[in-house]
Order: sequence, then C-alpha cells, then structure tokens
Amino acid sequence: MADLGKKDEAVDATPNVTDVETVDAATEAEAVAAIEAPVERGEPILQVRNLVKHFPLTQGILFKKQIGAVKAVDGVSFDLYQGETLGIVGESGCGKSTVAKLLMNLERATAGEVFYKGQDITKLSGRALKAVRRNIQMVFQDPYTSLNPRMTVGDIIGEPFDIHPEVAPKGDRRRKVQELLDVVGLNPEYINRYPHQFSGGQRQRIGIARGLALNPEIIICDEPVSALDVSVQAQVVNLMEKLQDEFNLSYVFIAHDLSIVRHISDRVGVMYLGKMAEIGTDVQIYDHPTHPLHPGAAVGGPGPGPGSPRQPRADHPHRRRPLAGEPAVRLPLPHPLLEGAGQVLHRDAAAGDPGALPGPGHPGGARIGVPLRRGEGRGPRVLTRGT
Amino acid sequence: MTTVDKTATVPSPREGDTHDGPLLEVRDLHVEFHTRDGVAKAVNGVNYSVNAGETLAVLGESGSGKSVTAQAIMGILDMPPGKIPQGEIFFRGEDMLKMSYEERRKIRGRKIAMIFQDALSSLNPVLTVGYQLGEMFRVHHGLSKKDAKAKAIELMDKVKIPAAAARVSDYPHQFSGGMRQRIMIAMALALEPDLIIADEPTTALDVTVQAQVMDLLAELQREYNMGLILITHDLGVVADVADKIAVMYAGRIVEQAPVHELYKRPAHPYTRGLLDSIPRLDQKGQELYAIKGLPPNLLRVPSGCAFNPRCPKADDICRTEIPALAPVTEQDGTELPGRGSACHFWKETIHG
Repeated sequence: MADLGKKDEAVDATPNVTDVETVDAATEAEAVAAIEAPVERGEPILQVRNLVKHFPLTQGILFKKQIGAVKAVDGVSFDLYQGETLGIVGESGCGKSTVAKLLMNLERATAGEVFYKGQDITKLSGRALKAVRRNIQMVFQDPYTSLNPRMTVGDIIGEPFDIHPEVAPKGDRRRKVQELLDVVGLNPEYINRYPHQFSGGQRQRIGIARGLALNPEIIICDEPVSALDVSVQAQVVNLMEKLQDEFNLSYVFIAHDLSIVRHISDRVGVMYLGKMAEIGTDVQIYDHPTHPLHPGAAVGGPGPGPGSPRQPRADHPHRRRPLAGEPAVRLPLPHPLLEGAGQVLHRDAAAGDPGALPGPGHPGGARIGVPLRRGEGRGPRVLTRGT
Repeated sequence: MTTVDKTATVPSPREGDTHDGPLLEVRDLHVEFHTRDGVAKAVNGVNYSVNAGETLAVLGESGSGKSVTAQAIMGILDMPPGKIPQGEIFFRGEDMLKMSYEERRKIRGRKIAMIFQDALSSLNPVLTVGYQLGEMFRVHHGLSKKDAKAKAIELMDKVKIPAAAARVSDYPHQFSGGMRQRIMIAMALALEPDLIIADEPTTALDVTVQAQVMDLLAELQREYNMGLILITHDLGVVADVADKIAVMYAGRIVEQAPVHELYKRPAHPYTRGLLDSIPRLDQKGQELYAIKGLPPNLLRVPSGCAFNPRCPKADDICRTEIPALAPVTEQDGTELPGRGSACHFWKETIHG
C-alpha cells in the first residue's frame, strides 16, 4: 500500500495531506489491537484518501441498466488529527453528509480509503469493524427525528451498550446512563422520560450523550446545532467544546453556519460538488480564500449586523456577496436548465471578481487552497512506511 | 382584462390612498389558544406599525409569537382554538378585526400578501406552478386561463426564474429550494399588494441562496414601494434589509429600534444575549456566551418580566412587575427616535 498518496492524480483536490502510515494486520486480532492502540495528541487519527461515492442511476425494471451516476463524493482527501476539530462546510447537496456516512462506514465507498489508525475501515469486517464503529460515533442533525419516540431516554442512551456489552456490564448500565445524562447537563432523574417531553436543545443533548456512551475517540457531528434556536445553539456548542477537552475527542463538525464552524474548528474544509475545494486553518480559509466558491459561502451568508464592530463595511473585501446561480446538480445528463458547477464559478470569474479564480479549467475541477507548508499543520508529517 | 385590473399603472402613488399615517398599525394585540392543558397566551399586547416602503423585522425564537401575530394580521389564524380577546389591527386606518369576512377577503392577497416559510409544503404538489400563480389572477381579477398563464410567466420573469416560459408548466418538486421560494415571492407579488408579510422566507435555504432571495425581496420592495414585515429568528438575515427591528419574547415586544442602533447598543438583556451568543473572531477558543435556561412555556409564562428566570440582571422588581415598552433616551435625556425597551433596567443595559 505504498502508492496511497496518489499525488499525480488530478482527482485529488487536497494535496496538503500527509502520507499514510499503514499497519498491516494479518489477523483480525492484530487489527483489533491496532484499533485499540492509543494515538498521541496531534497525530493523525483518521486519514481519508480519494474517497469516492457514486450513486448509480438506473433505468428499467427487470434489467437495471445504469445510465449514469450521481457523484455525491468525488475524490475527497483529508486528515483528522487527534484532539482537533475539523469543520466541513458546504451548500446542501455538496456531499458533506455522505462523507459523514462514509466515515462511519454506513455507506460503502465506491473507491478510496478511510484509514483509522492505519487500518482501512472500508475493507474491515467482523470484530475489527465493530471495534472501529465503537470508536467513531455520530451526532445527528435533527434531534426531533433521530430519537425513537417509543423508547425512554435511558433505553436510547443505553442501547449502544447492548451492541457493545464489553463497555458496561449489564448491572452497571443504569448508573452509566445517569452519569452520561449528568455529563451533558441533564437531570439524571429524567432517565425514564420520553423524547417528546424534552425541548430541542435538551434532545440534542440526549443525542450527544448517546454518542458519548461508548467512550469514542471521534465524534462526527452532522449539523448538530442547525435545528436549534439561536439562544440554545450557543449552549450546545459550549457543551461540545467542554466534552472535547474532558474526553479528549476529535470532532468532524459538519455545518453550513460559517460563524459557528469558525468558532469551534481548528481547521476548516470547504466542499463543493463532492470535492474538497479548500482545506486549511480558519485564518487561511476565512481571510485568504482561494476558491471562487468560497467568498460567496463565507460572506454570502448574511453577516451579524451592520454598523456593529463585527460587521465588515461596504468597502471591505469580505462584504456580503451573493454567489450567482443555483448550487449545481451533479447529474451527468445534459439538461438545458441545470447549470454545471463550472459555469457558476466561471460567471463569477468573468465578472472580474477579485476573489474569483479560474475554476473549471483547473485540473480536478476545483482550485486548491493554499497548501499547508511542511510542519504548518497541527500534526507532524508522517512518512509512508516501506515506500 | 376586466374592470379591476390596475396592473398597468405605476404603483407608487397608489390610487385611493387618502389615508396618511402608517400603512399597518397593530395596537395592543392579544392572541390566545385554548388547549386541553389550559390557555396558551401566544401574543400579549403587541404594538407595531409599518409605513409604505418600510421594512420591519420581527425577531424572536420559536414560540415567541412572531408568526401568530402575522397570522392574526393576515386573518388566517385558526379560530378556534385561537382567539383574539383584545386588540386592533389598522390597515390604512381601518380596523380589520371589525370587518366582515367578505371585506377581509378582499384585502387578503390583494392588499396584504404573505410569503410562507416552507416553500415545498406551501405549494400544491399536484398542480403546476403556472396554475397556482395564475390562480391569483383568475380568482381576484377574473382573467381567462390563457391570460392568467401569460401573467404567471411575467411574474416568474420578475422574480428571475430562468426560462420562465418553459418552466411555467413544471410542478413544484421540479424546482430547487431557492427557486420554489421565488415562486412563493412571485405569488405574493402577483396582485401588487401594499404590504407583504414574509414569515422566515430564507430559513429553509442554503446560505448562498439566502442572500439571493433577500436581495430579490429588497429590490422588489423598492420597485413597488411596499411595506414589508420580515419575520425571522436569524439576526444576520435582517441586518442588511430591515429599517427597524422589533424583538419579541414570550408574546411581547421587548425591544424596538432602528436596525443599526439595535446592533450597536442593545437596550434589553435578551437582545444583548442574542447578539453576544453569535461567535466572534476575537473570542475564538473561548466559551461562547449562552443565554441560560429555555424559552418559557406559554401555558405558564413567568410572572413579571417573562425573561426574568434567564436574565443576568434580574431583580425583585422583575419577578413582580411587567415592564412596559418605555422609550429609550440618551444619558443626558435626548430622545432616541423609534427606540423602546421593555426592561426595568434599560438604562443600565444601554449605557452601562
């Protein structure tokens, strides 16, 4: 597995990733041991290389002929370091949630690898996969639909223990669940209540408690605060930051609210049409965007308020500037009304927009963000073993 | 074209506009819902006004009564269980709550139109968008199907839907979220109303599309010189387009101010809390300011100021006495036009 870098391939839009140090595990037991091994703070814990997910479009009932594919994720690479928060932003339909599912191994990747501590989780099965799933947990977007209305809070949070009984022995579970409720700031006496008895913010706390139950190392948060009221959002974000310090977690934080992503993230990746258009520290991304999509996404969202010290003025380069056009649809079928991504970006460029750079002509379709210089990222560079 | 058609005239000096004063004025409006668990007081004495060409933003969390107020103005409140025990809603000086059903029907859609939040569930999925847009003209102006369709295409062009003529026979599901919201806007604009109420028009949309839709709305408002009530919970959305803001909490307006003033110097602890909980660059890595607690249950609104259990400044007086919306002044007593705060300690909040 020496050619994992694949740097010469145009599909890789994020070259600023380290090489992967893989662990060749001959047996399942070795794989589990590698997965359970601790990772130093600042070392890469999750490494994604050229991840691709295409959903086939078929025609016909009996003989399902494939007539095309929706390229939901089309070559995404990034590293997640232990203890960091990686924000992923992008419009709806850019593939952020599909990436989350692929990282959880809830969807089978069409191509590409996801290395968790040197093990490619897309190829794991059996006990090793179960061990990975224990260590990567997810918090879902909508706290109203992601909790089973017919289960009590105790059952919801305790359910992971049924699947992974080694974490908490049967007699200990109730106490464990109550501890978790306390950790996320809910009254432990609520253990026998049902989800409908809670408000949105409290429900999201239940979702977080469920994610924490198995002491995972990575939590993938798919828009965890989007559905919450403004005054409650800040409470949940604070809770997540507190838990990160307390349990030494790494977060993949997917959202479309850029100000919250910037607040919580150490690094931010911008996705567009299934590709990682840019990745870098928040200063690199927000203050020196290099991708034409980006100025629109960063400041296309309405700002916090005019005249306030936080609001860029009209002459400021980051003034709200709406992107023209719709988020493009990734159907390969020619359709006169669906504009391709290239055109959307191109129009911006043609208008002489200072932030716009050539998009479509560039190999890989998306311009690449400022590459991190050696040693500039959080983690040290790891070389491939046996290259 | 029949007699009532006035689309050809330039809209700004409107015909029959003899009323001078605000276009819409809401006075001491109360709305309550009678439920099995008790009476939920959704709106408890709201006052606001909108002039022609002006944008009023109504800001509040879910359950603050902002949408219920709008529904009461439109006359689309579900009654029962809803009930308006007191209050007046003046449109061009006439109290709409005293009008007959038929009189109100003439205003609804023609004079006051509404843009709903969720464009997918507000459009009928089994009818083409052209039919739904044309319905306005067929019902109110009695146009023929053919003329109504032509009008629908015109409207779709107006809200910048590309290839309008080709898409007029498409169904709502064939449009993207942003385009659907444009159709909702087109529908509200159809009869060139004097006032548009937009209930969270951008909440369901992507950030990039949000800005497009807001810009379109602002542009059309200028063109037609309409009054606009913009209901939202997003502080960012209103910043660029609104003229004045009313912040609602538990069915009351807790603060009212011109838009720039509000962001610069909030005069109510709730507004201040909302502004402070927006992540800021200089606070990265620190804990975000969060308003503690939860929005109140409308069946059991706390006594005194409804915000007192969550307020950092709360004192004994806050738990017993409901603060009135008092005018806000500078430290030396100079008046600040258009500003008001319903807090016993507004002086400390704005000047402290």
